[in-house]
Amino acid sequence: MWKIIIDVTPQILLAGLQYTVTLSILSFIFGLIIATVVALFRREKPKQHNQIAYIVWLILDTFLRFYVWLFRSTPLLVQLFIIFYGLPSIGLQIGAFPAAVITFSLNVGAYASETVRAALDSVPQAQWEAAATLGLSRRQTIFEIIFPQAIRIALPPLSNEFIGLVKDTSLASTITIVEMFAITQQITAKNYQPLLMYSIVAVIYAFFSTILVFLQKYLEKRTSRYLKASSLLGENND
Amino acid sequence: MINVDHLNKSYGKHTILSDISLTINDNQTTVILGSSGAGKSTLLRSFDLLDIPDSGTLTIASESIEFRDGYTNEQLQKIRAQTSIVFQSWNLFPHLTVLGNVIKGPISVLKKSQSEANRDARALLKQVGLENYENYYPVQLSGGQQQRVAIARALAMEPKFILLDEPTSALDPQSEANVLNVLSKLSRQGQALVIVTHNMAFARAIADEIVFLEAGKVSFSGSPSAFFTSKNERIERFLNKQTALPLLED
Repeated sequence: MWKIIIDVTPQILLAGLQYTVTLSILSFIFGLIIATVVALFRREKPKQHNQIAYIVWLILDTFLRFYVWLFRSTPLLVQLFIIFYGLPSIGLQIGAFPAAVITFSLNVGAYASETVRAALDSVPQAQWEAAATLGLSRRQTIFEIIFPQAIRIALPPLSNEFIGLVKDTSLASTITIVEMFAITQQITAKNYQPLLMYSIVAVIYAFFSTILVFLQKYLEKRTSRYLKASSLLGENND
Repeated sequence: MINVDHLNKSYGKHTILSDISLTINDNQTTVILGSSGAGKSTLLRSFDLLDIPDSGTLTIASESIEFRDGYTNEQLQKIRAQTSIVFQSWNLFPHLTVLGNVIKGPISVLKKSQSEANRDARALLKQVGLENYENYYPVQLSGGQQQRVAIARALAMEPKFILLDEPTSALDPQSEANVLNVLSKLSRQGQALVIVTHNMAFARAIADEIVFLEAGKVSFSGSPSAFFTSKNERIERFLNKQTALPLLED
């Protein structure tokens, strides 16, 4: 048994690093960008007296709502099949890896946009006003004042998203990508050791997820440093 | 000078400010008084355009906005550069240190260098008695200390007018006294202050000019001595109510 473990683990790990990790990281970064753009756009409602801007915003907002609804209401596997197997029938041929990145990014983007929106909403309106009275521009307010506070709120649900994504990348095996799960299947077909092989791959998935849990803990500590600061000192009074 | 002309503001059917015309002079302390719901905070916030009036004209220094015509972002920023608000609940940026809060505006908006902004901020923190707290986070400070940081942050923007919206109403008496001392010092130095307060003793002591609002209208504008000795029935009733409040708590 140990011989099999020692033989196959490097192969599975290599596939993990080559596909599972790169697929997860790329999709999460793109997904986060999509989520942030969607969340920010939906907050920036123009004033109704600017009619053209308002109508354009309304159309785009409806489209974005539709996108979020669509990707949250359909299975990831179906989305993957539509993009990889379905789109070629209308002339859009996409390679397996890019198709997986696109699907996972759009999927993460839809879920995470709600997380980012809620995190932005959790920063009190008073912080926007304090930034406005100093004369900070909208962009400065968002990036220098609101995001640093919203990240602390968004971090736990976004970490969940990321861990979920790492595991979901196993679905990429269904569109010909030889990632960790697919290679495990291939090896199992040769050695007929399904219990051992799928246990090995489960441990490797758990290993990657555990790294992310530690990363989450570290980032949570860093981003909430300013709230914990009070415990370092006694109470201050005038 | 802040000049407002026929300013109106409503929320739905509820009128907050009604046809307000008023001039607030440079280098003096103006105190806005009135019962709760009279429109004091809305008027103060409209000077900094945090609340946008529906109609009327606001002129600060040489910048002017006629609200019915709309306004550009540039106009809004020019007006805001003349004023800075200190909020009732401080609204410091919790993720920045005391020094970080005070230098944020000068670096991001006034485009000062880090070293210049630090130097100026340290001088301001000394002025408000917090020179030893620059590396603290807001959560580590008491309410009074946070409010004094907020005053330093407002001063750092070098505004013509500092607008204070009930700056001490959330503080204990000792912290309140410390904040009021800082404001009195600023007032004596000629910094123009516009203060909304319920503290009559402080208003009487610090004001060069009193503006009294009733139901969104200016019903008095003049010297503190004229206001506090006024025989106007409504002003007398307001003053009696304010002085009677502490007795009710006994």
